[in-house]
Amino acid sequence: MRNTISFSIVGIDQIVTYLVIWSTFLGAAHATIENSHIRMDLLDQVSGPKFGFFLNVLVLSLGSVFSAGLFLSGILLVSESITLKEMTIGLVRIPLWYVQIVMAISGFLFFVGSTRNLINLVVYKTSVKGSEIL
Amino acid sequence: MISLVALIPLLIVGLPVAFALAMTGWLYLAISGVPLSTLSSQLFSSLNSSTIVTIPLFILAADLLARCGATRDLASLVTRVVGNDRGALPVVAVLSCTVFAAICGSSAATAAAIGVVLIPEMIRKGYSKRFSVGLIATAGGLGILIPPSIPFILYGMITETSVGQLFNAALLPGFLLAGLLCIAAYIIGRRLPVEVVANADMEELEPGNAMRGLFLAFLPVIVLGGIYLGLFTPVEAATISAVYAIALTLVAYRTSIPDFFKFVGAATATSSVILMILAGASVFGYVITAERIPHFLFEWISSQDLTKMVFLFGIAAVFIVAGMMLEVLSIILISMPILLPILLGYEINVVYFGILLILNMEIASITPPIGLNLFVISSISKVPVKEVFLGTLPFVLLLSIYLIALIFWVGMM
Repeated sequence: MRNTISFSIVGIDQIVTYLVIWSTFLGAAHATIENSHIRMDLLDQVSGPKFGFFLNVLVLSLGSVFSAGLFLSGILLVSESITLKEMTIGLVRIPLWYVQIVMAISGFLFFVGSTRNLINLVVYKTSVKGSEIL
Repeated sequence: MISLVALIPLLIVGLPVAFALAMTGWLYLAISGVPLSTLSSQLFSSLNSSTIVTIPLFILAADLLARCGATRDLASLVTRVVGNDRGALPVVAVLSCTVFAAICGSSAATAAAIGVVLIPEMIRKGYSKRFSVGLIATAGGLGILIPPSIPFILYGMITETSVGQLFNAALLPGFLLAGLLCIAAYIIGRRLPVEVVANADMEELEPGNAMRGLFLAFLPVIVLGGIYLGLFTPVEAATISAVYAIALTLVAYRTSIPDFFKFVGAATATSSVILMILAGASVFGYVITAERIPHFLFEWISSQDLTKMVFLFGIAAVFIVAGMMLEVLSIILISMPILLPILLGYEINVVYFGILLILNMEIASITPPIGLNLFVISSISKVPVKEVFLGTLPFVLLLSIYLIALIFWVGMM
């Protein structure tokens, strides 16, 4: 549009970037629930059922701990932004925490996903298979 | 330093790569007494760049075209152009991968999209399973070498190199490799005892299908032509690819709206997983910069008095070993912040080094145990991973010779 009809939407690249950030973290939270993140599964493939179970419990526990940390970190980041009244830089000027709050939301969703998968594995002995990724 | 060492066991136990990278960073922040909010701040700022937008857009275009059935028409069109001679179908496979590589930018997506159509066709025509799967797994690797390429975009971001310059520099080596693969595929294909049968798909090719195949083949011309003529930036090229793919999916292929949204959902999931690794790697990058690892490593390498050529061969060997264990994007994101000062110290052109790195990664993507293309092809063809790997071996040899030639070229510049 910029070249052909000399028309451009002011700040569109900034808005799209923020949308990509939101969709990345929310999509990654969905991938956590679906257990479809990219990982090294070599040890899992060569281990027996008992050791494999232990590995999965360990991975999901570490995932839950990390998610809890990310949630807390996101809350702290947002509260800092609100306190300092930070605004986005560029043509679109909005409070920065509008965009940053996705960190806390995704941290919470990561935690829910990891913990749910951990409970399913330990209590109900069921695991979530990774979905197809091209 | 303890936090850095923690990365390896976290990866080995099977923690998602993105989480392992970010968790290593978090551990360092906790030990160093840096505020916890830095973790989120670093993750957020790593994605807060307009160049990032190219990655989900190229993935969306590739996913839509692969899932709506456009690649079948592309293969039929290339078959019509190349002909039905003995040894022609393997050439069709390489050329189809080349065209798709110039649209999508991912080796796994290229291998999957073309493999789904052509592996059954090659096996049906009598080519051995091992050769068919090995060829497509290797040719799929062109997806990351021929621009536009997602690893090149990430490499450009990490090294602060122009993505346009990287795309320019990669075009010739990419098409040259495609040509070499075509020759190898033709020679091996002709030697195999294959009966030449009429291509059912070609005979049944309706004018509408040929036109749709042409539509897809025209997309790389728009994308690459636009970038090289300076008509649009890589971000605009990615947007045009995505819009073109959406139009083809909905109008030419008449995909239903529920299916369309299913395809978009799958593409979003794929790009989220990739971008999350990028975000995690930026936290890891923060740690290695704060710990001055590149500085110490550079001092150590300098003290060894290595020549530029020996350094390049050494790095290539390290990349191939790393590629056996880690996925391509993770390797770029972990290694480049460490290597960049060393490259500058040796006065190695960062753009040309990028091409070497991506070619290394192409070899890595077809070598076990992590070679992503091996798993993708094994999963779509139901051929064991070991057979796929054995099938790639002749082509690994070809790629290795090509890599050595490129190392000499970069080393002498």
